[in-house]
Amino acid sequence: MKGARAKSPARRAPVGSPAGVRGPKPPGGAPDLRVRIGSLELENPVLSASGTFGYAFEFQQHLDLNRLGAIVVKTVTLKPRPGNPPQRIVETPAGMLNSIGLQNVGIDRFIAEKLPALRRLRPPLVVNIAAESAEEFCELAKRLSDQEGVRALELNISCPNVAGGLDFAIDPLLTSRVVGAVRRVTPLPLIPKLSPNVTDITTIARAAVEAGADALSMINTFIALAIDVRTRRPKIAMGTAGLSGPAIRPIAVRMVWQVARAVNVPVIGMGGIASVEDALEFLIAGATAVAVGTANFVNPGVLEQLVDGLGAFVTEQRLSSVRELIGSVQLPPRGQT
Amino acid sequence: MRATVLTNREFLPRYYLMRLHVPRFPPAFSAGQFVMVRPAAVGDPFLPRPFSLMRSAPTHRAARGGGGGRGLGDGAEIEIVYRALGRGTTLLSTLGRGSVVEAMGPLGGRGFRPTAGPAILVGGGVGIPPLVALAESLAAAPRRGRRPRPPTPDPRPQVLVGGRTKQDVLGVADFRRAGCRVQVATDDGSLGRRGLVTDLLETALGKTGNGNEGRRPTVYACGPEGMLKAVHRIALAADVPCQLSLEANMACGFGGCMGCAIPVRGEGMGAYKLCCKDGPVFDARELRW
Repeated sequence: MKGARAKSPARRAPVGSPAGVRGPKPPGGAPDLRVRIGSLELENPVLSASGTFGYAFEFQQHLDLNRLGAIVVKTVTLKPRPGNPPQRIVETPAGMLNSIGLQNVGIDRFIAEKLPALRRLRPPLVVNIAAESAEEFCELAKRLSDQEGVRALELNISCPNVAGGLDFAIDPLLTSRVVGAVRRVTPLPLIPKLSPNVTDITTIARAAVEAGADALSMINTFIALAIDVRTRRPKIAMGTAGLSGPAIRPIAVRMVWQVARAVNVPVIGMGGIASVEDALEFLIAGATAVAVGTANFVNPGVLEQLVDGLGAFVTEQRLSSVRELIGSVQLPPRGQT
Repeated sequence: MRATVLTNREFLPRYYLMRLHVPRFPPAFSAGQFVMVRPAAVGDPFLPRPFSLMRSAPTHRAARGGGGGRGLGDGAEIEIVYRALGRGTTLLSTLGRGSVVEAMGPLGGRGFRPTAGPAILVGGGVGIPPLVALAESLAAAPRRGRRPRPPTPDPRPQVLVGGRTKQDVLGVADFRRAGCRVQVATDDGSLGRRGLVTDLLETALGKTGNGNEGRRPTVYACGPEGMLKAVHRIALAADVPCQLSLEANMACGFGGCMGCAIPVRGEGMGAYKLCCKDGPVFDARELRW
């Protein structure tokens, strides 16, 4: 019963849909790739995924940073963090495990050393923050709300690699508490990043939205374990680690599809995107934008290639804009799956 | 960038010399710098692998002849050496002339930094290629007139090469051609002295150390981690400067993944530097080993 329904009944006009975009179409017949995430109007739906793009400038010789839809930088914490001991990464089939441990210079040095250059870039800057408590999250949010050039906050409530539990997103109540607390202290759009390591991600998603999330980033890495059979020890020093890369993509697409139907805020889809087709899958599943993570390591120019590729697809398919794709997946009627 | 395989030859069991043509490359690299290489068409293995650069030569005729600057950095032939050990390198070993690979480089923020005094190079296995690059740059430097010849009666670098058997001893001919004195140690005694290359180092430092300040050598090392840790210990005990080229699992090679953490001395709980961006060559004194 292919194509029995033109649109999924659960699909509502997402916030990132055509109504959300103002302003004239791009000139010269260029494909319209604009999307909207909360109050952010993005030139295109291609973002960097936090923790895989450094502070952006590491990549500037490989692509034009100004062509990205938005730039999401590496997690910032209140205090500097040295990160986890090596081994921190290991390759696995079609992906990799990482346990970096949120190595970062801390909020003071981020504001003093990284932000001045970042705020000069054209794409909106999304700063990813992580903390051990709702109070710490609020302090970070307040500090960053005062900074020119910070356009949104991504709340890393799902890091699987830090001892002491920064994994708020495995529990709807903890999620709600953190998101709600930060909501009260900042006017910036809030984008909690959800964990896939849960039984029902829609429960967490709803809790985040009810607490005031403007959009959802999903997903973070899967908790995983690789063992060296000779030493019988984990290949990663800390034991378990986060699995990313193409290996997780179909699960991520499924989760994005589930959540996009369950909430009325835009979803930023990520998990193993390495090609234009991969990005399209997420959009069609219901994501308003996509973020690329692990593929940046293998192909540091991939983000710009995706911007070009999405444009070419919109043109080739004679779409009025990329927004036509969002959530357009054609599903067989219930009961026939 | 797309690179083309020119040769891919097994010169010792499982050790391969790969020569690649790359479309863009600077006129020179610093010994210790590396390239990330992966087969172009395959998504599995997913990540590229780091390989130390052994040699590079501009492919443009004018550049080769040394005349004019035109074409310099146009393209180059580069040489790497690898051991077919895991899935990634085994796959590389199947590639023939004309195969296309993805290569990125030269990478590495800090290579070997030669000092004026006598040099002792210590290496083993696939740690040898960057030392060959260093030896050749030491040999070439005075000729190019960029660096004054070290003011010592015997400037010839001393090279200590280790391996499990003679089938793991690399680079001896290259070092000799570069004018170095070479000594070999193998675990089984099948070539050179029976024992560890670090035994040779202890002997060498015993001879040249001797509190003779003007002759204090610098140790440059690259090889398996166990060997490097021993070199590190010996060099610190002998109080001679020592530069170690390290290896770490890395996904990108340019500071994006932060996976290749090297423990360095720092206050409090310590700190990490990145092998790719801050190294791969580290001073023995800065390492927290």
